Amino acid sequence: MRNPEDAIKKWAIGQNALVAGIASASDIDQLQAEGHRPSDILPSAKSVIVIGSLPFAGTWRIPDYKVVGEVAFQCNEELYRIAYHMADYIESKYGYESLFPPPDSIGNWSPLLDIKRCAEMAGLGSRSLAGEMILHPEYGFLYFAVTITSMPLVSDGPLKDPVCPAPSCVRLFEKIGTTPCMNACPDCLSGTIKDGRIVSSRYDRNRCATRAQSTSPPALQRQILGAAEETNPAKRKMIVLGDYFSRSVKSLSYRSHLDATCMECWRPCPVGMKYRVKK
Amino acid sequence: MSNLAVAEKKIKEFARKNGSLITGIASVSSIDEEAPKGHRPSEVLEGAKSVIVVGGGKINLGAYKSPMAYIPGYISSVKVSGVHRIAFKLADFIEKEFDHYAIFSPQALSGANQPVIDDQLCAIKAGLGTRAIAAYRVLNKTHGFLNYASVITTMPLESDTPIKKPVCPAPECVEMYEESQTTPCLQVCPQCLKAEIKDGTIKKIKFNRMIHESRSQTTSTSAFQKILLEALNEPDPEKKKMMLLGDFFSRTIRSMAYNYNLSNTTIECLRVCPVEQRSYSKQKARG
Repeated sequence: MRNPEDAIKKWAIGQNALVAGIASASDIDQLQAEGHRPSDILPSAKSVIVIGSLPFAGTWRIPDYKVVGEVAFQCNEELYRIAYHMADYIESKYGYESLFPPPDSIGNWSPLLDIKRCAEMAGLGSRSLAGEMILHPEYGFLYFAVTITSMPLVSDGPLKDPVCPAPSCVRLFEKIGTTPCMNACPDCLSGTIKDGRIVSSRYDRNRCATRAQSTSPPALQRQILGAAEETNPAKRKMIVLGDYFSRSVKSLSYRSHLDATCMECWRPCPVGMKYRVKK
Repeated sequence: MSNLAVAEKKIKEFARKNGSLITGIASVSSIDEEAPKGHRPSEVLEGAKSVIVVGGGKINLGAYKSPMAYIPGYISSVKVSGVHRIAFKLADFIEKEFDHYAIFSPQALSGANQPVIDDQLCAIKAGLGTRAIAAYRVLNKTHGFLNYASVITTMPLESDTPIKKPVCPAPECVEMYEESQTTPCLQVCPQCLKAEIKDGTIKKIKFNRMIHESRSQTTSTSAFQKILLEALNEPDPEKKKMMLLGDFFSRTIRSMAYNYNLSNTTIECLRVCPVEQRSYSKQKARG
């Protein structure tokens, strides 16, 4: 009989996840801040199952970056659906408490659970220079979702060798002091590579948000504040009925462009490039 | 088996395969009799004959065990969407397979807090459960509290019979009430809930939705409107900025954006129900 780890992974992949890995909840607990640990969310947590998938390759051929963000966001949503069905699957098949934690930020900028950390600990990739996103050795950048469970499962553990920087990026850095991702967005990203390894990495999330999440919930808050502070009634009308405010409200209503609408640091990464190219 | 019986079997089987735990059928006329004007299935779809109710989206036991108050609410929001998807697919199936008009009941509220169609009432009429003291929700003997969604159709179908013996109060709740004039759900939220039990049945029941909302729907669309109003009325610019860019307002906006924690963010009265707890017996054994 197949072991439960394989059975759960096979189930997830059968539901359209591209990859699946398992991390130990206590290992993640040790690395996370209080209030953001798997055991803070589910006290009986033993394992965290992480699933990942790619956006459509066609996403990369969309010339309008706003549409890129929307199409990619829908792929993410699909992954969340698999993760919450997985919680049902584990509870009904194995009888262990499980839940799909909210993937989005609680309050301003703090996700309840660092899904990237979970993916790392489940052996699905390592941190990259590109926005500190997790880079899978085969597929490159993936979207991730998790299910936390009280079921004790054998953890896959983190990868031994980091995926980023790729050999071609190391060579590029040695020649010109940059990599494709840093070159695409030198304002948000910086880093240094020595002996083929990342020595320092900086991702300016606040700058990235003002550029890539211009119709996100915080952007709408800024616009509401701007309108509330505006004393000129005609200008206030222009703000509230204008294109930018309209786009932000529509973004909220239709759940589009809420997160990243710019994926330019992701686009030139050589890892997994073949999965982003079709006929 | 008659054609009608075959059709009903197909409909229930389709719902089951798509994730419904229980499915029942009610006649539109039986719901119309009890629903107020403007909220009757016949007013939503002209010529409606039947309402098919699917029940599912049971909240994970893991969510109940989370100490974070908003986790069960979040999971519940996700589950509600899942049940509505089943109803959506079922309406499509009925139109294609049986060539009758079918729509799934709208999720939207008409006005402030009135659902267009009361899915809970439809569930009762379709024989899926009876009203509970806890938040006036429908309680099923086997599955406890479920989320419900309805499909309204012009297809004439034979109705299921409403359950005669109420599921709530459970025997242990009757005993508790006789001893201490309360039940687990009343005890956990005496402000929102009030009830009277006599001879093992509910005689009076009151669910104060307004008190409930101010406590358990703190990141709902109504909460957003209240904070916005307060912020706009705030004369101090610094305070106004704090309100509009602060964590609480951020959470309400995110709730709307990601469609979670819009309704219940606390389900304490459901958590303690013995019928609900029994419905998780398998998970509890491994917990």
